[in-house]
Amino acid sequence: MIKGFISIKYIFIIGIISLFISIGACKKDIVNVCTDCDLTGILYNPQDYILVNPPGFPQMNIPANNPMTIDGVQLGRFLFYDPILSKDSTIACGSCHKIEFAFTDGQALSKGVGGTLGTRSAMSLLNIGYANKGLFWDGRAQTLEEQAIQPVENPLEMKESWKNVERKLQSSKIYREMFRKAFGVEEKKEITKELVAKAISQFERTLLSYNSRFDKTILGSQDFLTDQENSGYDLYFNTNLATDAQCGHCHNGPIFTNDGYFNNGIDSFTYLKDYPDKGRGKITKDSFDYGKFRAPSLRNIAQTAPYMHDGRFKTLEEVMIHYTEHVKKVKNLDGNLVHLKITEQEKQDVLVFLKTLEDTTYRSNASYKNPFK
Amino acid sequence: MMKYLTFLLLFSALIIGCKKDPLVNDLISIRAKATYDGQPLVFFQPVEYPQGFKIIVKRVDIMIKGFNLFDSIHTIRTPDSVFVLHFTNKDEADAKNGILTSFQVNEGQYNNLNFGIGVDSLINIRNPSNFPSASVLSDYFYYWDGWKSFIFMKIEGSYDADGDGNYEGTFTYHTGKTSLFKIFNFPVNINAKKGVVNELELSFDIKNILAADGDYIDLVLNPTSHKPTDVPTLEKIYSHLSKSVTLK
Repeated sequence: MIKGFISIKYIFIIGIISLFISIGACKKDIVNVCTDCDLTGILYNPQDYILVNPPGFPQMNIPANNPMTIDGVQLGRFLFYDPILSKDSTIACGSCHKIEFAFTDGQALSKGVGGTLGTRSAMSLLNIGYANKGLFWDGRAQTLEEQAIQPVENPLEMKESWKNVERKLQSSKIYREMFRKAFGVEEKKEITKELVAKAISQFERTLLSYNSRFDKTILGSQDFLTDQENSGYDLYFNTNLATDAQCGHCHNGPIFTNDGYFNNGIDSFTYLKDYPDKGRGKITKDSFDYGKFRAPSLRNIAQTAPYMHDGRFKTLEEVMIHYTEHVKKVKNLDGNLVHLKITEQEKQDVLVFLKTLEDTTYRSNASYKNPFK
Repeated sequence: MMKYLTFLLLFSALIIGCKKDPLVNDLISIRAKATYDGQPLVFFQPVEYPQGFKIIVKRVDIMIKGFNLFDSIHTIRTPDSVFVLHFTNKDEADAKNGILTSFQVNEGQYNNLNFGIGVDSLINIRNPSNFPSASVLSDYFYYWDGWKSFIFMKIEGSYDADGDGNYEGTFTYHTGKTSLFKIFNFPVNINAKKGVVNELELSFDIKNILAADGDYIDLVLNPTSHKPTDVPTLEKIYSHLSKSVTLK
């Protein structure tokens, strides 16, 4: 009897111990089984991406904490074109920045997840690496790295959470490898939104356009402008004794923008506070900045219709009509815009000159294209 | 014991000696202000113009080469050799506050301050693409392709010529040509001492720049200064400068 009791007691104790061991073992399984966590087996051997600065262009400002590498740029290109960044996998950066429209989308207002209409027109990304005074129409991001963070969680754009994006990327074998090669991450949990933004920024800095007729003639001395184009050039830059078409005050330099913020009189309000889209003023909190927007580059301008921050003008001709006939005299209107008096012929000359800024060679650059097609 | 005491005393003297660095931060400051007829200039607030109507000033940017401060031997420069005084003048307090630039100087007697408005020929033969992005000279906002020159000053505003309260016209004076680069010298008498901050007030009087001694620029007939035919306007502005820049 006693012997039997001991035996039952013995079995009971052994059972309890086994239970604890098995629970412990189960817990251990949940916590530690991660066969794809360790990425150190993948070779990390970053090679510098050599960015060749086009003739006449300024030196691009590349952040010291995000040096460009071949693998970083390649990863950025995949992320740029991958709708994995959006809530329902329908919208990528490349959805609104299409190569065939000089990296805009040809729409007045861009559409986000579920066809939600945004409030502004997509800006061109060509030569965007040279923008040093803020990005977006209102300059709310100082760097490309800051800019790339924002669309993911914008409900009018990708409508996704970064937490989800990180999880999706961490779950992808291909991306784990690419992040390892680009940034040397050792574990998948190191794949973060900051690295996503860095990679996209690296890719965006490669997007250059510098093969227009203007580049070949004015900067490269390999071609000649026609008389009408020359006339347009003089009007644009107010050289010689030409009438001043005022373009060159804001759209100057090799990128054809000084990246300044201007109120160009497209809307009229008695009080600046009445601007529904306060533009730069929303960021600076300065009422004198209400209604001001970043001057876009006029390179490839013929490919980036419609125009203005809200895409209200369908053609360049409409833009010219605005500047010559319909500029509204608002309080903080840019001072150069009210003296614009040019003839019909001069308008045509400026338009013809603007076409010399067109470059289509970048479209055939394989390294700019969607890698999923 | 004495050995240790001697060593301790020498060591203490060394530390005290090291601390006694004659270079003292921010001992001399320059407070730059944009004024109008000697009064604080508030942007977007009407002021009387000698042409017989009111104007509002919206922008005053002045490109400075310098400042250089001299004692009997040395020249002390501000960290940025070229920078822009970008006035904001949102209200009277902001206008009075101006823009503060400080020198790190040694204690001593300082006799002269100089600076240029604009840039000299060595800089002006280049363009913004030639400068690193951290430099204000890389900014095409301050470059005029038409004249291949940096813009030395920007003064912008509107006028109400018919007095109806509606500021119907604008003036935009963006000046700059190598030949217009001017250096201003001011004698100063500053005895810089540790713990004493010396502040100089540098004023740019916009009324005098546009209309010194009643010799005003016709804002209606000549509202801009960027065409070759505008050279007389440019020259008038520059001839007024010496009467418009004061240091006290």
